[in-house]
Amino acid sequence: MLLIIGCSYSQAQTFVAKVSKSSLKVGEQFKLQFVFDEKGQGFKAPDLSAFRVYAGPNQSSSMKWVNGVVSNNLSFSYVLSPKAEGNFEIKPASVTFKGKSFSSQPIKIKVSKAQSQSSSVGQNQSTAAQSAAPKASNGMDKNVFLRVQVSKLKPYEGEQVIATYKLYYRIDVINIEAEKLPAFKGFSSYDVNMKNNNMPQEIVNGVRYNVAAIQQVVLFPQRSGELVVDALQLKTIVRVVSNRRPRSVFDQFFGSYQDVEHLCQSPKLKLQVRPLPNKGKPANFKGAVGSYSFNTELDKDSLAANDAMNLKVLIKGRGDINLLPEPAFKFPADFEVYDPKLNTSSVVSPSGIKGRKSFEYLVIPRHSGKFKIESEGFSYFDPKQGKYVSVASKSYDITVDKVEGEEENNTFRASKKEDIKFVGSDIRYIKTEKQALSNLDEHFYRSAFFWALLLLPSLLMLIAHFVLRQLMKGQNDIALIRRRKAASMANKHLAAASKALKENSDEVYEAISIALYGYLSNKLNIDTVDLNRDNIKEELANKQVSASLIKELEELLNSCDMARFSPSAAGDKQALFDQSKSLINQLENTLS
Amino acid sequence: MKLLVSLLASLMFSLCFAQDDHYLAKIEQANGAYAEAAYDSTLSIYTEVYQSGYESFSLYYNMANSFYKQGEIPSAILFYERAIKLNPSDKDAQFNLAIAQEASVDKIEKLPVFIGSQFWKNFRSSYTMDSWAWLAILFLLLSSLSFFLFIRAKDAGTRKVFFYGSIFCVSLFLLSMISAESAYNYRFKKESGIIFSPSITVQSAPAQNSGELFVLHEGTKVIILGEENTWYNIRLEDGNEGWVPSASIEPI
Repeated sequence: MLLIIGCSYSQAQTFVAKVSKSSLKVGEQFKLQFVFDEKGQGFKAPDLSAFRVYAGPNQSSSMKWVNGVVSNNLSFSYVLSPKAEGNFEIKPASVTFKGKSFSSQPIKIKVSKAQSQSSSVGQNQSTAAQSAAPKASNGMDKNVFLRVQVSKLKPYEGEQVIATYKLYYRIDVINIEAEKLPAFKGFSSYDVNMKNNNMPQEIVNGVRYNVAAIQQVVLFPQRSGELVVDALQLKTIVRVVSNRRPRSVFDQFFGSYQDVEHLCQSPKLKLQVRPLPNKGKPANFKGAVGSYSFNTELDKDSLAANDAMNLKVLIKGRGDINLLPEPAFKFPADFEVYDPKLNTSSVVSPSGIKGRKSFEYLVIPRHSGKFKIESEGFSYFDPKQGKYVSVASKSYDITVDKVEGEEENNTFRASKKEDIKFVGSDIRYIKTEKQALSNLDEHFYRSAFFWALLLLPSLLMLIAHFVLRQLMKGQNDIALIRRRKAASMANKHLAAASKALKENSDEVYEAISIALYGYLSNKLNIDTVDLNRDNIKEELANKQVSASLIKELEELLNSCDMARFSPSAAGDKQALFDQSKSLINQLENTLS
Repeated sequence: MKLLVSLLASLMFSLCFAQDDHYLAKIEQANGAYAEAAYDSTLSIYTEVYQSGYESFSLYYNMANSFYKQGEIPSAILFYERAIKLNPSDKDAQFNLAIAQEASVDKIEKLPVFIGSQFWKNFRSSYTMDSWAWLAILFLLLSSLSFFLFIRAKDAGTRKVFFYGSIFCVSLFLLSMISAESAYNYRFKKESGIIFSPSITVQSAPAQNSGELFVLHEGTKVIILGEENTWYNIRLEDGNEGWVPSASIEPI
């Protein structure tokens, strides 16, 4: 059918909608095309929700040059098939050109019932198979159709379900091509690698069919509730007997055949997935469903610090091996534990998945001592028994020895600490420790007490200075007096000596000795008792008395002492007296 | 003299403790109430102690905490500032002040502080005012002593040592005095204040409607530059200056 709404003007633009068929059956494909004879923009498609869109919109444009006149052409095409029977109207599409909007005309489509409706097979599943083979004759769905079969309609969450897509046929199928593969949303799925597609013949509704398994999948529902096993869509090419009039002798003899295309679709299957029961759920249950055996193995239970040991966990059984959770261990905090090495091997067979998963922990104790590795064990839900099974695992006692001659604390471990995140912004708590209160107006600085204390040392220093000076003055006076009196005292003693000299008595030596020692005692401010040769020499030397004079004095004192104790050995008394007198004079001159 | 000093010091301490005992017990009671989130009664006790003319760092700090919990942000800021004045190095008070300032309205960009003045502030606050006063006394005593020894000494080398020693001690004495004086000014002069009016327009001169400069809100800290009648000349921490009625500001 072709409808054109056009304008008679030469420059007018037309926007036309056309369909390849206006009367068709459910599932039959047809072509819808919108053609605009200019370079339009902003194509807006009508609502096509009543149809299944196989292809489109495919845009194509062309330009023609006829007799110097340029004509453009823009078209949008779809391949559609109606979803249900009834009368439909394809609403106008629109396009804009030079600011103007153009609409196509609406198209009416009449959809009649599909010819064949397969009756239910096997498990009483309703089917919605559609035939859409353009060349297939009526009733093809009875000859070739797809079914999906599941091992369980009400599995537990995580329980394995085997879905098998089977093709039933009783005419020759020449070619099969997958049109749409199921996606299995909400399941974890594993394809079964089938060695043999052929299956035993089955009788459906009293008709014997050949059966081929197209695809087999092991499914594990990941959540509870209603889950849909997707449909598989196949394009088959089947060979049918032709109704045409025989054209040749061969045809007459062998009959004539025709290869026709036929689209098969398996019905969608709904599974009611049951949640795992809460009753009796072990604390360490982490979602493993199936049937398993659990084993732990530690390669050594006594070792030196910084040596490595291996803890191996092996889980074997049937179920979703790949998604088996990591078993929990409580390692001592001082142990360095690396992420476990995972090893999974499984076989997907028509009876389900069977396999093993191992976790290998590398553990390095860093300090010596006795430690314990505790295991939380392993538990799983067994859907066959409908209950949880817990496998307790051993705890290991480990003895770590000290390493000889090695510092123990040289651990190099990557710091797992994180910066403290500033979560809230509350103020810090009050100060609860006792703190002495002080009066608001009382402070030590600038107080009278402060000024007093500040001035006190200076004052004390001044006082001390003056007192000391007075004291020193007094002391100096006594020494001075003694020094001044020294000469006259010596003269007195010398006068006594001179008197003794006239009497020629031996007392003259003693008098000279007294005069000399007394003079030195007074002059040097040393008591007579403390006076001796050594300190006399020292003091005189200090007072810059010449060495010769000191020597002379020493000799004089020697001869005096000798004469006092043995007068007979003494020399001239007069000479000794004169010598003493001149020496005192000389000393007086130098010392004063 | 040693005897005298120790006697006086012990007298002072005994005086302190004697007069505090009553109030310390009260504060303890208030702290207990704070732990039970009874900030009302906590605050009334703290305020009573404060109004009796007593102060301590922890009293101010705890008061500020209670004010904050009561939602009285300007008072909280005021008392945190007062607490910091008494103990500028306390981290908790600075932390809480920052949080209280977050809750105040005005956000003011602080001008960078001159490093020298910051250094001087830190140095000065390394001892309390009274500690500086005691240090001044100590250094004056030492310098007097060394001066005395300088005078008395006969030997030229010894005299030199004591002369320089006394000069050294005198300079330390002067430093302590300056620090004590600076701390005194910081403590007792009205150097800064907190705005208590919910909203106040800063004027360009100490008179109403003299020219509106900008608007400040409660909880903002201002530096008080001068006073004229009932007006304060203020400067913000971002450097802006103006005049506000003195009733709207509580000096720290």
